[in-house]
Order: sequence, then C-alpha cells, then structure tokens
Amino acid sequence: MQSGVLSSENLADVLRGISQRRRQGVLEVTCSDSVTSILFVQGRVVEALTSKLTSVQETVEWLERAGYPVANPKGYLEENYSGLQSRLTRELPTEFSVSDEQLQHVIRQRVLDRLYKLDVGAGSFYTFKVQMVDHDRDFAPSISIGQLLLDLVELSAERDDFDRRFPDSTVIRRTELAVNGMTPEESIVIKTVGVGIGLSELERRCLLSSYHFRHSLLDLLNNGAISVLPGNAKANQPQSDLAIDSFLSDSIDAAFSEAAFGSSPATDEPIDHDDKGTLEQLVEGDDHELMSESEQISQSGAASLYLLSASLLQNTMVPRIVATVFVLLALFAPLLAWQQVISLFADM
Amino acid sequence: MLCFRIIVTFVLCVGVGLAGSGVRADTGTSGLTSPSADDIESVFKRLEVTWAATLATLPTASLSEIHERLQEIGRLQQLAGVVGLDGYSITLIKEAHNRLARKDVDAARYLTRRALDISPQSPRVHFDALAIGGSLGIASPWSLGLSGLALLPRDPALMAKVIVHTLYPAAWALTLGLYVAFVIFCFFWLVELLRSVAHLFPVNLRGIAAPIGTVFILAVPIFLGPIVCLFVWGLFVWSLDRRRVWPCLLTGIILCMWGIVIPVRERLVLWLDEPGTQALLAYSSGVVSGADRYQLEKFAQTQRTNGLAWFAYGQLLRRYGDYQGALKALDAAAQQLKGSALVAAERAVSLSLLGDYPSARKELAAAEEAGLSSVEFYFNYSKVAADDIDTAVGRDYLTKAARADGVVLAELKKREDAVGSKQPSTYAEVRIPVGQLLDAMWEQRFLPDTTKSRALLPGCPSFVLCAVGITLCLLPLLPFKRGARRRLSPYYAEYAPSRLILAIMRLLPGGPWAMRGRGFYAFAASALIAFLVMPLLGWPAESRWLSELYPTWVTPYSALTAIVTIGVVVIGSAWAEE
Repeated sequence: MQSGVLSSENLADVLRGISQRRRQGVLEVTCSDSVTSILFVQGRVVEALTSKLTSVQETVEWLERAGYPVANPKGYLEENYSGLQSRLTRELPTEFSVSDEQLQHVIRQRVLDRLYKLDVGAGSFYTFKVQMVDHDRDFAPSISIGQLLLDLVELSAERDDFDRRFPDSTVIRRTELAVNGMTPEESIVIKTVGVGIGLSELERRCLLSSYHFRHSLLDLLNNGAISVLPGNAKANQPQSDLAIDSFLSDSIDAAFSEAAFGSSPATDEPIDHDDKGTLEQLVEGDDHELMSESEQISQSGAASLYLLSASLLQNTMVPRIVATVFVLLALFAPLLAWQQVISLFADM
Repeated sequence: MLCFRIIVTFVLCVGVGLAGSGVRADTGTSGLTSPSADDIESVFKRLEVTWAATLATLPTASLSEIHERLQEIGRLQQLAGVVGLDGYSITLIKEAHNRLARKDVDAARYLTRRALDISPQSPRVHFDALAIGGSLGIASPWSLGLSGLALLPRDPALMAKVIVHTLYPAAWALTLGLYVAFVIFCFFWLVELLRSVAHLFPVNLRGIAAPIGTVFILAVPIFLGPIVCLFVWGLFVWSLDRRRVWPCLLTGIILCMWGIVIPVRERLVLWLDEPGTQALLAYSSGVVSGADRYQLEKFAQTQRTNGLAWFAYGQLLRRYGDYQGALKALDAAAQQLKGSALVAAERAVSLSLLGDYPSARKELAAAEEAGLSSVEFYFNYSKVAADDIDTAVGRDYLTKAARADGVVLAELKKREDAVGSKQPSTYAEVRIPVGQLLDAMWEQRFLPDTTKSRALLPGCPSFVLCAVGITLCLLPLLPFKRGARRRLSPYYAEYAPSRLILAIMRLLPGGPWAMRGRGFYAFAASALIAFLVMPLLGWPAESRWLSELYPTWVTPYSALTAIVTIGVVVIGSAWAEE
C-alpha cells in the first residue's frame, strides 16, 4: 500500500507513478469532505466514484440530468453496466433508447468529469491499494493519465477565458455558419444548442465532462458556429415544453448517433493539434485574405513549428533517445575525454 | 595552510588514537652479560654482522644453524634495546614461504615464529605472516590481522604510507561515486529535467529545444573533465529544483576535498622521500639501524630549525651511549621546542646516565610541571630517584607508573629483569607524538606538484578548487525566491524508461536510492564500491600497493568485494521495494 499527503503539486506525480508502473488497484483520494475512488487497470483509469453512489447509479443520474425519463437513480441496483443497459432497453420508451455506444460515452464522460473535478487542497491525502479491479470491459472507459493531465492543464488555462466569455446566464444560439471538421464533442454541443439554450441547461443536456464541454464551446465560439446572447433567468430554467424536450431528445440522439459514434468513437489519443491548425485557418476569415503572401508563409511556418514542437513534447521516443544518448556518453565518454587525468593518476 | 595541518593532524591522530608516548617494550632472557655504555655501539655492529652472516646462509643452512644465529641476534637485540627488526623479520617470512614450498614444514614454522618474536610490535610483519602463520597453525589469520591492525598506530612510518596510498583512491572513489549517483539520478529524473529545460524556451520551440538543450547540458561537461562535469551537473540539478540540496553540497565537498587532498598528499610524498624523515619515522617506530644515525645527524644538520629532528637524534645518541652528544642535540631541540616536556624528560635520562642526578631530577620535575604524565616518564623518574638513593620517591613514582598503565610497566620491568637494572637500554623511551611529527613536515620547505590540481580544474591551483567548493556548499543556504511551481506538466506524460536499462540501473550500487531521489545514499553506495574495486583495477596508481605487497590477497579480496557489492545491491533493492 502506498499513501501520502496529496497536493496540487504532487497530484501529477502520483498519477504518473501509477500509470508508468502500469499498476492495478484503487487510488482513494480524501479531500476535505469527500472520498473519491479511482480504479486503475494496467495504469489506466477505468472508473472514478464517490462514496455516495455506485457507478451504475451515477450513470443513471447523469442520464436523468440530461432529460432521460429514468426513475430514482438510487433504485438502480444493478451490479454492472450490462445489467443497466438491459434495464434501460427494457424500461425506456423507444425515443429515449440508449445504445451501447451511447452508454459507453456517458460513462466515459462521467468518469472524466469526476477526475476533472478532483479538487485537492490542504489536508488532502491519498492511499493506493494494489488489488484486483473488477470492471465491465464492455462499457468501462480506459483513460490515459497522460491525456488526463494534458486536459487538466488546458482546463485550468481556459477557465478564466470561459468564465469571461460565457457568463452564468448566457443564452447560446447556433449561427448559420457551417463548420467542418468538428470533433465528436463539438457535434454533440452544436446539435444540443439548437435554436437557443441556457448555459447550465446545455451543460446538463450535453452529457459531456466539464473539460470537453468548455473546450467545445470555446472552439465553437471561436469558429463562429455559435453566438452568445446576454442571458435571462428563464433561459436556464428546465425546459418543460414538450416541443423543446422532443427537439432536445432528437438533437441528442442525432448528435450521439451521427457525430460521436457513427464515425469515430472517443479515443485516448492526445489532443489532435491538427484541429488547432484548422481552427486557426477558419477563424481568420476576411483578415486572412488580406494578409500578404509572405505573412501567410510565415504564419504557416510558425504553426508547423508549433505542431512539431507539440508533438515532440508528447512523443515518448524523445526522452528515450535522450536517456540512451546520455547513458552511453556517461559510460564511454570519460574513457576518451578523461585520458589525461586518468594517465596522470595512473603514475605514482 | 593551517587548515591543512589541522585536518591532516586530525586524520592521523584519529588513526593513531593519539597514542602519544608509548613504550618500546622488549622481551628477553635472563642471565645476559650487561655491557657498558661504551660497548653499545659495538653491539649494533655485531648485530649487523651476525645478520649478514645469517642472510648469506639462510637458504641452505640447517634448522639448528639458523636457530643458533637467530638466538644470537635475539640476545644482541635485547642488549641494544631494539624493539623491532622489521627487515630481518620480513626476510625470515619470505624464507619460510620458500621452505614451505620445499615441504620443510618445521623450518617454515620455526622461521615464522622467530620473525614474529624479533618484531613483536610490527604491523607489517603481522600482515606478512598472516597467510603462512594461519596455514602452519601458529595463529589464526584473523588474530594476526587484528593484532596487525591494533599495532598500526605504533608504526607512524607505515601509517604515513597507508595515508599516502589511500588519499587519492579515496578521493577518486568519492568523485566517481558522485558521478555515478548523478548519472543514475539524471536517468531516472530525465523527464523532470526535460520538462524543466523545456520551460526555459518559447512554446513554439520547446519540443525541439528541450531534448537538445538537455543533452547539451548533460553531455558537454563530461568532455571537460570530472570536476567540471560534477560542478556543472551539481549546479544544473540544483538550479532546476532548489529544494534538492545534496547536488550542490556534495559537489562542493568533493571540490574542497580535492583542494586539500592534492597539496597534502604531494607534500607528504616529498616529506616521506627524505631519508632523514624515513630515519625519523623508523626510529619513532622502534626500528633502529646503523644507517639511521647517519641519516638523522644529516637531517638535523640540514634542518637546523627542526626541533624534532634534533630530539630524535639526541635520543639515538643516548641509545648509542654518547650522552654528551645527546645532551648537545637535546639543547638544540630545546631551542626549537621551547618548554617541551619531552626534551626535559629525555635530558634527565642522559644526565642520570652521566651521574648528574640532581640536574636530572630538576629536569624531571620541570617535565612533570609541564604536564608530562606517561607511564614511561614515571618509570624513568623512579629509576633516576632510585639511582639517586631516594628509594621512597622511587617507589612513589613506580606506583604512579603502575596506576598510569600496569601492562606497560610490567613490560618495562621484564626488560629490566632480563638485562639488569643498570643497563642504559632499560630506560623507557617516550614516543614522538604524531602531531609533532606532522609539524616537522609543515616546517620543511617543499614545492608540491600542482600538475594534478591543474589537470582536474584546468588552470586552477588547489586553493581555487577549495574556494569554488566552499561557494557551492554555501549556495543552497542563500535565500532565493520560490517561484510558483507549475501545478502539472503534461510533457512526455506517457514516458516510461526502457525496462532493460531500468533493470541495469537498479542493479547498480546506489541505483535504487537514486531512483527514489535519495542522492546522498546513492553517492555513498557508489563511492564504497568504487573504493573497493580500485585495488583490483590498479587505478589510481596508489591502489596497486595491495596487490604488489600481498599478491596472495587478491583472490580473497575479490571475493570480499563481490560479497559487499551484492550486499549493497540487495539492501538497495529491498529498500526500494519497501
């Protein structure tokens, strides 16, 4: 068993340590008022829970928040996701049916959200117990720690920007501008936005983790795919209107089936920096056309350099090569470079 | 320079255990004829002649012939009051090896026993007899080895040689230990180093510049020499994480160490190369040869301000029966060693042998007033008082001597019983304190070789090494602004070291400790193993003495080194697992 004090400074080290050793077990993070259990298999996160609800109950709670007609989440006592899926198929109306892919997505986003909201502060500590972890291979996510850490950094960096651009009572509307190359999360958001929706309502309906929600919204706003209107209180009220409910259900289903699962299921790969390049090009708009050719080449070169730099910073071969070069030099270079000193001390 | 002296004095005094003055005990047989003082010089000559004759016939002589000659040598040794004849003993042990090779076990056993008898207080003879003594059942190798180690402080000449032969290997072991610790540490913490270097560059260049910069910082110093390498690495690791104190501190200590070790060692070598010093050390070890008198006289004449040389010369002249000459030499010593109790005590013995008891007792009282309180001094005081027919005082001082050290007193009484109480050789001799021997070294004008210090840190003499080392040691103590630490660094998040290299690093002594960031333990483990391995590698040159002096020890020493290395690795791995 491994345990210790946890702070914002060593959180990454603890997670990375478990990941690098490909450990299997449960990491219990005790913060001021809650205990979060993070389950690892082969150094990857397969579940994250609080002590209040089971994983199945938490998933049902998420579906309930999104407007699915599920009864009391605490009434779901199924031991695994397969049982939950069977029950949902049996009990939910056809228009609210949840496919395997949809359930996988919801579970993944829920686990990610729990991880993103892990708020370690003063007095937090952790315990890692090596043990067999029973998880549902068909539905449980397999989240890479590297990707998680990357998201955490970006989430932290974007927090201020998001709060500034999306005040609490904001109403978000879709524009007419067509956007190509959207990520699955952006597709879900854009389809859920529809004719207009309050920010908090949108967050509930999207079934996305806080990071993916915020990141997608910022990207869509930058692309001009959505616009932000000064909000009113009503916009954030639960929309009880049947037409809107129906619209939302349709949009969620459509978003899940077409964007998220139809083409590319969510992966653990690092953020695709190609998207960043594409976005930059799209956002430039008219100004972009006014740039001189040399400036465009210059910007293109800088972007390429940025992309190369970013990809190298995530490439594990880089430290491997550096380590190998260093160890070889440390072993053999002294035999050549220290000849004078060696021979000087070889004679009495 | 004062600092050097203090440190070297401390090192030697710890090794010697501040033996201060000690007895030159002798064993003997009763019924010997007591020669007069005039005959003493002829005793030494007869000793040399007898040994030369023994040496000439040693390989072919029968056991009875050897026995007769060695008996004569033993008798003359007692008459001369010589404690050890190391050269004779070492030759006898070599011959014992030859005899054993020729299956002449009895002769081998006899020669070994006699070698130990002739030089009972010589650590060198005990070490030489270790293997053959054990195989012939004379004594267990352990007891011989331990007694040799216990006797080491009584032989300043050998101690000085041990120090000379240990300084550079120890310094290099510590240096290489730190180098290995840095290499293992940097390997295990490479990603941290890469991340830290990455943040020194603009965002667009980090991915490209971080590996290049890291390799540059880690690799280039290797080509600039070991000390520069440690200096740069120490600063680099410390600057990246200032909470880690050990890189700077240990590097600073290593630099300071080199700054001290080089001048001390080079000066020590020059000092030991002086024939006068060799005679002085041999004499203070209780080994007297005919050449010593000439060498000490020459030494004292050429180094007129060296009070210790005059003192030793005076002691030697007194031993040879030249009491007037001894007093003159001691006067010269007294001029240099003002108020020395040793000189007063030694003058008292010479005056007593000349029959001037009142002056002798005055000198003894002055020595006692100056704080001399050794068993030898009390014993001599009791003899002078007894010769002055003051039995009560004589008995009092004999009681004081018994209280000071009963064992040594028993040895002195035994010698007195063997050769007669009126013999000049029955006076106890005070051993020259090690601290004063070292003072003699620093009083001489040498021009130590600075080539090595300049090779280690190009263009810098020793004091610069010291200054840089002290600066490095103080660097972590300076206040610095603690910048906001990056909460999370996602760079190279998926990196895990190659399992093969990881396994190799874990198997290195110090690897498990470096892996957990315990640099000091990694350094200590690596340095220990490096020090043990050096005699097997024969580098630096000083570490070859073990295999040259004791070639038969190489195999057991290799086994011992292997066991210690495995032990360190096992302990490190067990610790890392916990």
